[in-house]
Order: sequence, then C-alpha cells, then structure tokens
Amino acid sequence: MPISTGYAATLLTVIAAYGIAALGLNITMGRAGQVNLGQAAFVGVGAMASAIATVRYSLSFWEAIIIAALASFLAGAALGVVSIRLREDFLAITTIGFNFIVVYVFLYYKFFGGSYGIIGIPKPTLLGMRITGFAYTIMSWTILLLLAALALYIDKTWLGLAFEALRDNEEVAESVGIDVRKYKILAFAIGAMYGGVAGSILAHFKGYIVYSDFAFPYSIMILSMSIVGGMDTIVGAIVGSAMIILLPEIFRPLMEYRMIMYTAIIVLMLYFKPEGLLGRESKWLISLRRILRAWSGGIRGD
Amino acid sequence: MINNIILETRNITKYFGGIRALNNVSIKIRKGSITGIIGPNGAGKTTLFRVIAGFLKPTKGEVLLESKRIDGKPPHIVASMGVGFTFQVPQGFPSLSVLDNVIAAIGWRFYRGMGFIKRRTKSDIIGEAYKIIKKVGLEDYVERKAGELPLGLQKRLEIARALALDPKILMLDEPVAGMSAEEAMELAGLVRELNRGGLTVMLIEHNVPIAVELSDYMYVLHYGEVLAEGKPEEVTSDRRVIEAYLGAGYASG
Ligand SMILES: Nc1ncnc2c1ncn2[C@@H]1O[C@H](COP(=O)(O)OP(=O)(O)OP(=O)(O)O)[C@@H](O)[C@H]1O
Ligand SMILES: [Mg+2]
Repeated sequence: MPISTGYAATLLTVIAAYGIAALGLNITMGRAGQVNLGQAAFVGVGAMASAIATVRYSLSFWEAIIIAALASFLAGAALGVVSIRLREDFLAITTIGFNFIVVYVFLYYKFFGGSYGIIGIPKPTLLGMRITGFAYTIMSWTILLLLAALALYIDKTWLGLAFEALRDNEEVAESVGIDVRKYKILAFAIGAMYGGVAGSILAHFKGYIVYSDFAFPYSIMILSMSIVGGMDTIVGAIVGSAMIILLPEIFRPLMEYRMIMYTAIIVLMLYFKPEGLLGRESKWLISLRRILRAWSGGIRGD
Repeated sequence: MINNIILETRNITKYFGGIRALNNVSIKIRKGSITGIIGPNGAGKTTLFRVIAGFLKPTKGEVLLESKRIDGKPPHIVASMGVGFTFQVPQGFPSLSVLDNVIAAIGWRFYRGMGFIKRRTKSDIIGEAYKIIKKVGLEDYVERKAGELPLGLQKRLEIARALALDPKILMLDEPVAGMSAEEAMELAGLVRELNRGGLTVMLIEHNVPIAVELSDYMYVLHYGEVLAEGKPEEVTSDRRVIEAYLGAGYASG
C-alpha cells in the first residue's frame, strides 16, 4: 500500500503530540506515583488556550503554545491541590471526574466554542513562512525532543529525586525534608503542562477542535501509550505513542474497537509486563542499549 | 544549664479519639547525651517520637528544639531544622538504591524554594553520601535497592538516612529490634560511636540491657505517662518500673 506523504506527516505529527502527552503522564504517574486518569483534560486545556489565543486574540502560535503550557500547568496545579487530601483510589476517580468537568465546560460555554468547537485555528509561521505538512511534523518532533530533554534533566535534579521519593513513601519523604504537598502539586502541574503543549500542537495541526476531542477515552488512550512503553522511561512514552497510534492504522478492523483495544492492552500489560515494553528491567531496552553502545563505539572507533 | 537542653517536651498530651496515648509527658534531652526511652508495648514511645517529628499534632503541650517551639510545624520543616528520625518498621524508599536513599536525605537543603532545579548528580554530593554509607557499614550495598536488603541492613539504612540530614538530634525507634544478638551489639557500637562524635541521641529501646548500657539518662513511659526518670541504674532498680515490666507480683514477692 503506497503511503502518501500527507498521511505519513499526519501520523507522525499525531505520534509526536501524544508522545508528549504520554511523557507528561510518565512524570506524574511514573516518577511521582500520582495517579492521573484525566490527562486528556490537560490536552484540552492547552488546545483551547492555544486556539482562543490565536483565533480570538490574534496572538502568534509561538505565544499561544506558551500560554497553553502555562494554562495547563495551572490547571494541573489546581488538580494537584485537590489531590493532596485524597487517598489513591479517590484520586483516580477525581481525575476522571476532572476530565468530565473540563469537557462539559467546553461544551456548555460558548466561549469554548460549545458543540461547534473552534474553527480556523491558524498554522504557525516562522520567518514569514507558514509551517504546514512535513515542516509541521518536524516542528512537532523538535518540541517533543526538547521536552524529552527537559524530562531527562528533571531526572537528574533534586526535583526528580523528590518525585521518586514521594512515589515510594510519602512519610519517609517528609522525614527527609521533602514538602510532599508542594511536590505533588508540581508533579501534576508539570505532567499537565506536557499535555497542554500536546494539545496546542494538535489544535494548530488540525485547525479545528471540539470538546469531544478531549473526552475520557483519550485519557485512556494516553494511559495505554504510557503503560505500553513503560512509565519509567522517556523513550517508552514515544514508542508507546507510536504503537498505539499505528496499530489501528495497520489493522483497520481494530479502528472500530479502539477503546476495547486500549483497555485490553492496559490490563494485559499490567498483568504480564507491568514495567512496560521498554521499562527499566526490560530485555528490549537492555538489548537496545547494547546495540546503541556498540554503534556509538563503532563510530568512535574503539 | 538551660541552653544545655537541645530538645524538650512540655506536658505533651495526645489523644487518638478516646484513647489517651500520652499524658502530660515532659522530657528534656541534654546536648551530647544518649537518652533512653523505655516502656512496655503500647506505652506511647513511638507516639512521642511522632509528635516531636511533626507527624502528629499534640492535643496539648509544647515541643521545643533549642528553646524554639516546633510543635505544629510539618515534618519536613522539623527535619530540616535538624531532627533526624528512624521508623520503628524500616521503610525507606524501596525502589531506590541505597545510594539514592541517602542522597534523597542529603537533599533537604535543596527542597525549599526553587533549590530543586539544581542537578543532584554532583561529585561532592555523591562523596558525602558514600561517607555516610561507610559510617553505617553499608558500603558493600551501595547500588542495591533498599527494598531488597535484609532487615538488619534496612535498619542501618534508616540511620544513614537520618544522618544525611546532618541532624542536631538523632531519634532512633527500636534500632536493634529484630536483629541477632551479634548485629545488635554492632549497632549499639555504632550508636555509641556517633554519640562520641558529638551527636545527641534519643533512643527508644525494648531491649532494656542495651538501653541501660547506652543511655546516660532514661525515661520510662507507662500508659502514656512518665513513670520514672534518672540514671539507668536508678531507673532499673525503681520498684514501680520493675512492677510495670514484670507485673506487681514480682516486685512484692
Ligand atoms: N494512629 C493511631 N490511631 C489510634 N491509636 C493509636 C495510633 N497510634 C498509636 N495508637 C495507640 O496509642 C498507644 C501508644 O502506641 P505507641 O505506638 O506509641 O506505643 P509504643 O510505646 O511505641 O509501643 P511499641 O513498643 O509496641 O512500639 C497504643 O495504645 C496504640 O494502640
Ligand atoms: Mg513503638
């Protein structure tokens, strides 16, 4: 089957965008251990913020994507504040509820386009040129790589260690001077910010968004990406996004049963391979690393 | 005399619903001492620690660290003020290595404000962590996950984490419980050594002989109250203490 460049560009852009959203989930859930079953809500907050900033207020894409990041960061922080008082199981339900609330707000307030959504979301321009098609794909992947680098950096900071500490044991984290509330809020806010940037990328790519693009099933889709790749890894989010986006594209009949597929994948992965395909202890990742090391060794000539 | 006291509780009372776990507990910990807290199961020893560490708010009373009130402050603040504390049941960060467990505690200086954006993988930080790990004798387990260590070593890791806070006072909750006699002796030696290095230690211990041997001063808690206090030999010959431990029949007969 011949693949048109337009089709390839679309798939690759969508993979990058959801890869970013899944990366955010890997920070909130994988690193900091805070359950978030409503990541699509933050994708929505970012997409709406970006669409409204450009369509209604004529800001540039570059300004809008920053606003999207800030808006979703704040929305994430708000959910984080709520989460502080909740036990894990209630937290899971609350994040789902949050997803529903955000979608209903988008639907019932005209400001967010209501049931018609927002149309005419402009493409970015750079040096007077519109970024479309494959150029947009490259832009998306560049943003993905920048945010992956940020995630790698966070892993090496005190912030990253505080996240892991609070995931492992909140009481012990407090006992070593970690303000658990502050870091929980940050875990949600940073993960949400990734979702918001993903939303901005999707909105300006499609040129049109509507409330239902951010419904709960999309949260499950992002979660399945995270879990397939492995919550512990950064590459995992990207590989997971690619697999979950491509699978129904390759096996068309799956298209109809996507929700069942996501759910089945999550359940099967958690049962058989909870660390994900590329999780820390996984053979895939170890052999992938070995190959990469051999390559780079070969390049350096040692 | 006054500024010789590093930590003090004044009339601490703590209720859990209808249960009174602590009743008017006033203790003073002298700088540079090892102060033992003994008492039967359920006497309120751990509760007293948790009140001091900020995990529990006292129903009544005050906690003073170097004459400043710390009751009501959250645990992470109390920790960063210099109260290091081990858990009765070793907890730690099970999925992190021994090294990262210790580094996480060294990080107390960085978690406030925006200090968290700094890299933690600096050689001086790692060097500091190794020094602490060596002090507690875990140098052969640096890369092992904390959750995979046997109990005796987890207890040492508890101490390492508390030491990484660079504490003014180290509070140990039954550090030798569940250890073999040999391990217990080794750990007692470590506590003594840390104290010789100038660290004030507050020690909850079920093992009375070890508590007696280590302590300069002791408190006996019973039903949430201070039953007796004094030098170890005074306390252990106190009739009420013997009764509390062995039952009234033993002391009178
Ligand atoms: N979180 C809690 N909620 C209700 N009751 C509690 C709680 N924590 C402790 N208690 C009760 O308070 C009393 C004192 O308990 P504490 O754990 O302080 O005793 P302890 O002296 O440390 O005992 P042990 O030697 O067994 O460790 C007990 O009756 C206990 O059941
Ligand atoms: Mg106890």
